[in-house]
Amino acid sequence: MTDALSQSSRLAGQLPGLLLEAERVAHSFLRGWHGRRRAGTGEAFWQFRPYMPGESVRGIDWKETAKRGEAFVREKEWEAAQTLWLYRDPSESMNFSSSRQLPVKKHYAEVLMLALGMLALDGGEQLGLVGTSLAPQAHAGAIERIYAGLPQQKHLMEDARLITARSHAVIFGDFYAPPESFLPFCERLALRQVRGMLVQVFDPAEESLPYEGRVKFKDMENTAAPAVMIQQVEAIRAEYAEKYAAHRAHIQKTVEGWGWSFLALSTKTPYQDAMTQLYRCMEAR
Amino acid sequence: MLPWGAVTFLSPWILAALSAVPVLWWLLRVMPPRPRTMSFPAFFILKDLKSDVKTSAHTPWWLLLLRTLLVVVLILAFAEPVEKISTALPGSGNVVLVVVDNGWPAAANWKARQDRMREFLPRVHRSGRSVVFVTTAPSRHDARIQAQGPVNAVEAEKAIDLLAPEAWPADHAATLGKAREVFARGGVGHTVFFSDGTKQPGTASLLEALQREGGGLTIVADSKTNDPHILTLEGAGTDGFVVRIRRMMVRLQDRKMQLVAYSAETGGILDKVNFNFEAGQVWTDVEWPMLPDLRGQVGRIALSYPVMASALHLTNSRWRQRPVGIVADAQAREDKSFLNEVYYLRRALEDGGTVKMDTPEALAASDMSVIIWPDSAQVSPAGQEALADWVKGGGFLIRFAGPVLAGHPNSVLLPVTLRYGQRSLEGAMTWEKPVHLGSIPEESPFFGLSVPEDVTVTRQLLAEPTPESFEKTWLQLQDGTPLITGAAHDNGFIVLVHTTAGPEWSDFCYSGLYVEALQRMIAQSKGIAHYKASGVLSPLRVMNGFGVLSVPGDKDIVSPVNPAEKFVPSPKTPPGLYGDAQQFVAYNLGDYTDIPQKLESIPASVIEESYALSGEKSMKAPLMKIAVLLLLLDTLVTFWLRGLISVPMRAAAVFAALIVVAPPALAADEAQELAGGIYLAYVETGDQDTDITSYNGLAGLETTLKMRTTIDVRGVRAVNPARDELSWYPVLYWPMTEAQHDLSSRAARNLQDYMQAGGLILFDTRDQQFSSSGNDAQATPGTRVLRKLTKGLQIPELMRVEQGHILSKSFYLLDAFPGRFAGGAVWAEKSPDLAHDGVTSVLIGGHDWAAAWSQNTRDRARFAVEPGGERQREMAYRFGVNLYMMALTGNYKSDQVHVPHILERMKK
Repeated sequence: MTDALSQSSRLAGQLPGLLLEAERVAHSFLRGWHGRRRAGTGEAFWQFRPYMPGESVRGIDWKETAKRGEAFVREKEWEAAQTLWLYRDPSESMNFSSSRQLPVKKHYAEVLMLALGMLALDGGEQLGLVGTSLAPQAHAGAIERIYAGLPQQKHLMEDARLITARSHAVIFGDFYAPPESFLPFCERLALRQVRGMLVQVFDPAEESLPYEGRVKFKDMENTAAPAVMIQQVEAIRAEYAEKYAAHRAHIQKTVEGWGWSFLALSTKTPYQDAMTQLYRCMEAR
Repeated sequence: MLPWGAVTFLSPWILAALSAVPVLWWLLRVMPPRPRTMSFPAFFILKDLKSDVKTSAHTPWWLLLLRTLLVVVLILAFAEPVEKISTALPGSGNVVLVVVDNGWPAAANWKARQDRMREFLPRVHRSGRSVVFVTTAPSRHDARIQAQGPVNAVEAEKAIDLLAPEAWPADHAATLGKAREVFARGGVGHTVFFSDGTKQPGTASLLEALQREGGGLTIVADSKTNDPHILTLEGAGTDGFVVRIRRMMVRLQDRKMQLVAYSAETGGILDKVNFNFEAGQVWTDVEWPMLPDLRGQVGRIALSYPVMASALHLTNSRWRQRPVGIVADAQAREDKSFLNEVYYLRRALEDGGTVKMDTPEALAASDMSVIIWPDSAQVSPAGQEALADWVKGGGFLIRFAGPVLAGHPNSVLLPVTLRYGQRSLEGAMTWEKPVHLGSIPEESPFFGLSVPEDVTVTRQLLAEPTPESFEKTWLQLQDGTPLITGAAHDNGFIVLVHTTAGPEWSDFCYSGLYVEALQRMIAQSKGIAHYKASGVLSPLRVMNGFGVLSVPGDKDIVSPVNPAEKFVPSPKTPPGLYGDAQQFVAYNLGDYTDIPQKLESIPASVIEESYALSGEKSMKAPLMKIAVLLLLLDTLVTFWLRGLISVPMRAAAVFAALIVVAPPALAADEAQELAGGIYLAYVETGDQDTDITSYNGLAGLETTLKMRTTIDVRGVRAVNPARDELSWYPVLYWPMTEAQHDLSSRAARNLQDYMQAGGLILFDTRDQQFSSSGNDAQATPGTRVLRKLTKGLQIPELMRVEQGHILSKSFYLLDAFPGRFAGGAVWAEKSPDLAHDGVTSVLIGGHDWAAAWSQNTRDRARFAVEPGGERQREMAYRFGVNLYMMALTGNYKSDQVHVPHILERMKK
């Protein structure tokens, strides 16, 4: 068996897993959500209105005009579909789960992201994946392309030019890095009138540091970095919690200053609740 | 050695290591366990923490405690603590001479003796000496005192297992000679005498010599507890037995005892009687009333305790002689004409032993159990008188009717009053048809015999029809008239057959019933208890010290007994049964021995010990077990501390620790599993190749059983009789290999219990191809191993499995039982216990069955089935199926022999 073949078969085996999970999350979320009252996709008819002088003649619906004897324009809903840019942090630190009962952060983020993407596609929006060369698409197959593109996704900072002005961006990550390493980039997007949202996915253990005794902590991002030996974890827990909260508060305050939104989601949170929170956050914008 | 309360340390210097424990404590304390390593996403926050706590990490106190405890326990274990230690062995030198009394009185307390000897061994071991055993009873192999060794303590334990009391007295004078031989070899520093508490003329000088020449003497005497009993049969009257029991001790309390009578035929218990051996008495007579029928069956009377050769009486009754005499004149004796009655009687009695023919006077004078008086015989009045006296004295007279008796119906020796004249049923003057035989009344001794339908009686003598004559009728014709009548007459019996012994009046003499009825009547007779043997009697079964009968061993020097001489129990003539297949005489130890004297005066300088166990126990092994458990716990804890096992794993590990701590629960589970289904089992031989073949063979048989029968086999198990509980398995397959060791006493007991409880052992000598004949000298290797291995077992009397045995029809109808080889005999128990449904407890053969059963390709290639090829393999499977069917269903298939009769009856 060739390498490509084995890889494709492995992918084929995996493909439905994550996607189906995302789909389940998206659908069960739709069932419980009544806020969306839309007539259809952007191609659908919305209303006829009288032709206003100065408008493009191409907009005139000739059939209707012939019926009524007056020039009418066919207006379509969501004529200009928006583009939703999605991103999840591909870094190593996302591959973490403190317990077997909890999902790995990356997986959790991907499920939420793909579910969000499906809902957006349902709403007629275009989907784009930050960090890949894929052009935004709106057809139903887009989600699979995004899924397939996930492994190729590069780091956020490397490829921001693609994100078009006045579009939406939802960025999933753990943001465990000095704020100055990623906030300026987001700020540039905000200046280009991209409406963004930062979703911090974290493991409960990262917030509470539940370890005890002598523990040697190693960096997941940079394995070459010297490990930190903590003689008594319980003794530093309070200070750690304080720093952790401060880091999060700083990010939140900064992005909200640009009119962006920030959401912290623990992997402990059920997907449905997380989706609700995500939606509320987006609607509130 | 350092005593510490009841505990003594054999290597106390190791305890010095305990002083290092505080240092260890400190070391462990400052050297904490390795930290667990965590890859952590929010590392960058941790990295910048200001207040890293620099407290020095300590090992948790409980881990410290655990480890220190572990070390302390190990140190204690290596210091070899012993609880209640016995005193050190006195004397010096490198050999201890152990003299063991194993004459017949030693059997009374033998187990305690063996236990005490085993307990003695650690003392020998500690003193670093080896042991020479001298047994005081002459050896069964050469009638001399044997010395064994020197051996070390481990081998000495095996030697003790094999020691057994003999059925003859010890010889202390000869023992002294042997002991001196051992002393002459040098090195003997001390002598220990395990005495049976009895004394004989040579004892005093033996003790004195052992003390003087053997470097001091320790005597382990049980003269206070050992109590040999002697049982003799004082009388066997008509209403039961009188049993005399003698004992050595004068006891201060009454003692409840029990006598048991065993059947001569089956060995089963027939009757028991409890009696009270009064305080202060050294003998007592037990009167034991018993029905004559039962009495006739008793083969052995024994005390239920103590079990010893002297407390046992073989009654001869199984081999009670019933000589038959026929009243005949010289002419009738020689006449071979088909009209001669004597000819028919002789033919009928041919199988029953010798038949004497003589005048009635001569017969009555000699020891005859039954006398048959055919009608044609001339009996003078004097002869009649002699016969009458003989019957009064307990004789059994069988008369046949005929023309002579018809002419003298008022003869005296008759069970019923006869009517004058004969009844003729088929003749010129009668129109009556000859009458067939009728039923047998239930009270008749013939009840149960089958009545042939084609026998007709043309003439008979009729009895006066009185009420008694019906009771006396043993066999009647279809019209209800008696054919055989019988009645007690004083102590004896008189039976009349109302027709001729020959074919003149009926064709009764041609039928099988004629023979069977005669045999029944002979069996009914009292027999001659004191059979006077002529010539020497060769040994047939001899007793061991516990009174168990067995065939004399190959190397034993058992020799024939001359009944004319006084019987002396000795290795040459041990008590037992002597004679040949027809005529046995029982020689009981009790009849030829007397209660021994108590050993009372022991020289003053001799160290005296008792047979009570000191309870000495080494504590090393339990301490080591604790240490291992602690170590295991410590490993788990360390793994957990280092994060190498996560939460669910931790639970599993704790569970595993619990299992280690609580193995009985697991064993109970296994027992439940084994008891819940059928497992095919084989005995592990230790020879890997054989074991694999056994396994494959049984696995092949398992498939066959599942496919062809309803036996739901769960699997195949290997068992070790020394270790495993055997009662779960219906059959044990046991191949013989040269490599197998002798059975330990535990294994032997286990196997014995298994057979007793209804198990079946299939011994496979696997050497049919080598066997030529039953010649002992050329015994095949497998047979030799079989003999060696079964030495410790009581294998019942065997017989060849013939056509018609249950084994040949329990599932398939088989005429041979081939395995990989064919053509040899298969042997089974001769008279299996009816309590086990008649299933034999042993099967012995040499056909290498497992090799034929195996469906493993490699085995198939290696073990060609000879000479019959695949057909024979199929037959081997059928044997296997029959074997298991027999073991599981018992004799129910043997009932099928009656099927033709049942079918025939249903047709009517």
